[in-house]
Amino acid sequence: METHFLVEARLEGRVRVLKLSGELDVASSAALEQSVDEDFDYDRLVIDLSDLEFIDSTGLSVLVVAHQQAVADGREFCVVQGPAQVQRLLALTGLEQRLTVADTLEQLLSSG
Amino acid sequence: MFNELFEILAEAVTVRDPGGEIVYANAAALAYLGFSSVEELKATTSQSIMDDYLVEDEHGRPLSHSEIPSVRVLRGEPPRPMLMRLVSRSSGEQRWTFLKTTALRDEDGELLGALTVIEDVTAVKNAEIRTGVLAESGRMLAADLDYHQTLRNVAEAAVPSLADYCSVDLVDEQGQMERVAACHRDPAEQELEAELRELPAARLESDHPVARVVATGTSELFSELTTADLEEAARDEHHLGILHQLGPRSLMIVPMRVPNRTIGVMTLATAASQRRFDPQDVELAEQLGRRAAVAVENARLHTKLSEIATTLQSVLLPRELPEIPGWELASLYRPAETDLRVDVGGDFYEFLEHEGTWFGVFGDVTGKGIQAAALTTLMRTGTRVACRIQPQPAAILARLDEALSQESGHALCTALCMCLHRDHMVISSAGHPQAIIVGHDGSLREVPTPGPVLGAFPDATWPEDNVSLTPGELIVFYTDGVTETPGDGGRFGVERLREFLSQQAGTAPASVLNLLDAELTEFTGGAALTDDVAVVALRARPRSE
Repeated sequence: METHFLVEARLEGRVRVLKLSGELDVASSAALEQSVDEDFDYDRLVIDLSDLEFIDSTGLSVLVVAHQQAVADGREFCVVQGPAQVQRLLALTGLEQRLTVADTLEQLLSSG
Repeated sequence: MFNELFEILAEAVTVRDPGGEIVYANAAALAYLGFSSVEELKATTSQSIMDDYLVEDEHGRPLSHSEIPSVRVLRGEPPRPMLMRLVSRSSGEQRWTFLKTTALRDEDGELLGALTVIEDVTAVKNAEIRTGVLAESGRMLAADLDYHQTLRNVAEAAVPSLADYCSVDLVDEQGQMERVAACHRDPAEQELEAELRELPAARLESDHPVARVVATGTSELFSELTTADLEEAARDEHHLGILHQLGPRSLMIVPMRVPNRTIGVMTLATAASQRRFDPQDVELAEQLGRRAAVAVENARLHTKLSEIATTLQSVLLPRELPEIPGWELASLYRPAETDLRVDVGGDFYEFLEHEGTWFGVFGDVTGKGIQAAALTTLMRTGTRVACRIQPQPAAILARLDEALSQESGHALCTALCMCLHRDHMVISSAGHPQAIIVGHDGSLREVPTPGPVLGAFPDATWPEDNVSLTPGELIVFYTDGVTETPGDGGRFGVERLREFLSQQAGTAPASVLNLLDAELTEFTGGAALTDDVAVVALRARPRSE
């Protein structure tokens, strides 16, 4: 089965947005790790999951690490909620309750 | 006028009369053939000039005087250019020569003689051989992880372009030299090749040239071997007999080096071809030696890794399930296939008894292969330790979370921890897919309440659920490798798993898992698993048992 994964990164004022699409799993998680590690000056990191089709536990661990790193750096970390499978896993693993999750990207851009 | 023109030509030109004798040679031709004047050349027959050389065509077939282009042309045959290899019998020097002959005729078409242009193409041909040998060896080195075969391939790449025979010796694990490959150019000399292969390698503690090359890492060249050299190299009469049969003229020993050490040597020699090796040959052989060394080192590391993996595997894999009174159990464990031949993964389970009560932990460390597997041992032994300190599922998970958080590398772990009682279980979840209970009528329930994944949050706590199970009801624990298994129609998915389980009411745990294994194999079309798969199924026995 062919899988694909894409990270679109952009800076909106003081907000860095990483929009994910495709499948975030063992094979593709390194690509997200790399994008998270890139050095930019910003106050809030938003991971947009709305177009993410699939996430597994390795993908999840990248989100957790990004969250821990952002907190350590004194930045806000938020996610835009994804489709059902993604949200189910976030809920199952307790991430949903511990991360700032918004319905849409607009909410996170305007409240910054 | 023609004479003057020919004299200034860089190409060597000769003219033979119809009788075949050389009547003219320009300065370049005289120099090429090694004569100081035309008179001196004329005093020598062309047959005797040829006798000074070993003459072969480009495929190594010996050429006779009657086959050279000028002689053919004088016989009235059509002119056909020829590439030949000349090896001086006295100096062992090798030259590649390209001959083009034209018939010289008068106005009436009467044959006056044959004009031959001799072109020295040694440099071009050597470069071609060099490229060829290296390219061939590159292909052969890449082909095989069995280094004995690889070295046989390398020996074959060197023969006959570079040498007439070649042998390869390696320093083995005990520090002894071991002959691993040999190749002889002449297919008729199979027996001799076998003898060469069977010859014991030199002892490293001796002052044999092979031992010197291993010690110093520096090549040795014997451009002209003497009988004394052979006698010195031979271990005994039998050995000397073989050396005489091989009849080496020129010999070089090059190291097979990896950074910091020499792991073996290649011995290359000329015999029938009469060539004498020069420093360029040594340089080419050294390149071949370096490439072979890297291939051997890679193959050895690979073998070592496989051995380590096999050892680790026995430690890292979940143990066989124990007998638990009052319960029927079965497990399915299929690690993802990696390129490391390491059949271990991040899925794990452990069941243990503590003061008459049985506990179980079932989980999945993120990532795959050895790294994930190593953390599963932490989780499994951690469960045993935690159980002794505070034998409660939520408390065990808290201790596992603590242990995992102390590990560097940001690994996460999802797990279900359970305590087995006669008619119920206490289950606590750390971000793990819910277990599925199959009721007597095929109805499904999913338990327990989700709790946070291990290794992610500093302030986490875990809820505990009391789950009642009547005898005959099946509870199935699985890792996401099951539901995420990819196939042609997307992923296997929770729905497909639920659908499958809903038809398993009343089936014994072992049978259910056999059927599920077959179902997964069918779903993937037999393709290799990309993630670990683990499933444990339990069923309470009826009270009377």
